[in-house]
Amino acid sequence: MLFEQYAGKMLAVCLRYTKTKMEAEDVLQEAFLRIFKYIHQFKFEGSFEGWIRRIVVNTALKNISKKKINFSEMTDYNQVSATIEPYAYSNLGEDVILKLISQLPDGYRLVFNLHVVEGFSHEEIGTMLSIQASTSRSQLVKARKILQNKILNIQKIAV
Amino acid sequence: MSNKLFDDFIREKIGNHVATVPVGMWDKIVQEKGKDKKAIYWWQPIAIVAVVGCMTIYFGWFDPFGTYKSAEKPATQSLANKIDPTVEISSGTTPGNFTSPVNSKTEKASTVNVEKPKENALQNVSPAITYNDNREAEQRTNAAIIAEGINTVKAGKAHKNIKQLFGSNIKQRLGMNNKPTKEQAQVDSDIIPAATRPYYDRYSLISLKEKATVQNAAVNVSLSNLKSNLFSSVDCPSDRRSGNHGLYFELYASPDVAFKQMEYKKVRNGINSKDSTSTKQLSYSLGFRLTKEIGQNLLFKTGLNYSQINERFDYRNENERTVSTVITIRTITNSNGTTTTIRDTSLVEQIGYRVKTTYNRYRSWDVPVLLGYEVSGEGWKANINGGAIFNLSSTQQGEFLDTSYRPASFSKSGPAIFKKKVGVGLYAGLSLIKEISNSTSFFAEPYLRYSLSDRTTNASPFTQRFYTAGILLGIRFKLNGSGAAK
Repeated sequence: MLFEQYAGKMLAVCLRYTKTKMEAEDVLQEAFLRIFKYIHQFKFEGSFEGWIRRIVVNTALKNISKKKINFSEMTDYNQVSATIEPYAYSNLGEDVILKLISQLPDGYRLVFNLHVVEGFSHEEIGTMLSIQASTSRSQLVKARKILQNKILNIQKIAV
Repeated sequence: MSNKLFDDFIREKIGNHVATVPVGMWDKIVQEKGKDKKAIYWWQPIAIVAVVGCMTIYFGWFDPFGTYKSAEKPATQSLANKIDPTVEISSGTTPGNFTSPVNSKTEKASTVNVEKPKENALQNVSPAITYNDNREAEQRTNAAIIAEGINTVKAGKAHKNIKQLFGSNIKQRLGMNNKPTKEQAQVDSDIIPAATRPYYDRYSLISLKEKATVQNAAVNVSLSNLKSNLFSSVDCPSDRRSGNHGLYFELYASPDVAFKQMEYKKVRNGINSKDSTSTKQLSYSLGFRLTKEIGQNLLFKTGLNYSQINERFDYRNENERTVSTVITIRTITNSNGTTTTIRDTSLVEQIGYRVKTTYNRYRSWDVPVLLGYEVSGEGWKANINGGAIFNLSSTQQGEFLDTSYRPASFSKSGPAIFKKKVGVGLYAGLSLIKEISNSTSFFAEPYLRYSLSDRTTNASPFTQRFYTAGILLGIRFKLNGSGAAK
């Protein structure tokens, strides 16, 4: 029941942190093993889903930490259209957005997911990824710009 | 669009995205989980039932006071410090025991431990009554007679306990009221080997007491009391199997109704009434019991019981939103005959409520330890049973309303809000038994069961316990003896 209720959502989380679906499934499996192992430590001091989500994210980060992620700055996307109108987003589906995020470089993707989707602060992200908070901030700015650029390109093609 | 709006948009779009979980994912997790799992618990109930069963059989079939074997085994210990001043010890017997030659046709003789006197002076006095050496009886001192009196009183107390244990009509059942003939005495001495022959028999004792009465008339000890005490001390059955101590196997199932006591720790008002209801449903129990007669009307029962309490939990979720995609296709044909197909896609959001139904399951494995009192009529029996139920394992799955008014799920592998072992419960039942053949009976037992402790742990936001009522319906098989099932 626990698995049925949360597996879909958590697999979506895993997919945002991994490159392939197979990798995401491995992370999910490992995360649920941890959840079942440490479930007695849950103290009902917050949302149970939040607790599960945190374990899944940590497992995904641990999996990623095995690879060396380059948090270097990329300048290719600096020339971004500053004005992107709200209507440009209206027809964007979840799958499209997820696809765009998955195309981000690893470092950008990680920071973007952790800050925008999971809601971690830059200080927390810095601790989690062993980087400076300022690095996290700059990575987020870049990631955001890349995404906006990509969305704009999609709109141009559509028009 | 500002960065904040952009972030909010992305979060809203993909924050609660649900991906399709591949089939077999759960099996993989279970497989991995199983590797880490320690020894499973399936053997525990079997082991406990085996131990309890062995104890039942041991206490039921063999003399719990355990001196039968020692009477057969020649003692090699010195008698000097271990001699029982109550009676003289013949060679080859264990001190401190009375042995009764109660039945001339059986080789077995029950023995009863008698408390040894603590006074050293009395211990050193040479006991007088013996059927082997009458000269010692004649040389008995007054002190020895007093010591004998003291100890026979103790033996009398022991006899009272035995009487309580085996019933008051034990003499009749064993034919001990009949004075044995000399022929019977001869058979006794023939059947029982010399080394294991009892310390004395009643015939020689009578004559010895008469002698003692004559020789020690001045001593203020009532030999008539002494005699009765000595006689009463040997009134015990030689073989408990000769009594009516049947062993039965009971197989049963029961429809149950469980009543729940639930209380939230921090929320004052009835949280349960807030958009949710939990309804009790038909529950059930099944199991088996071994029943052993331990007295004339007393029964000891133990076994293994599985019970499942079912409950339906409904939760009404307000402001449920459902988004539907509506595609409208229009075909326009202009004056040139050209047909154009136009597809309009729109999203329709419906707001309402949804009732979510969950079936909660509370499962328990228990070992009942019960005492019963049985009365009987022609072809029927009735038992009143009561005792404790020891929980071996408990698992739960389902949903409850948490303190934030949201349904939260629990399962056997879920958050630790329920105990894995509930503890002890109380059981009371009235069993009506109808004989259907010589060795088989049908029984119905309305019962009430109450848990003494909560099912929930300290970490749980609420406390919960059940009391259950039901009616056990089952079949009872007689395992030993050829008589009719009782």
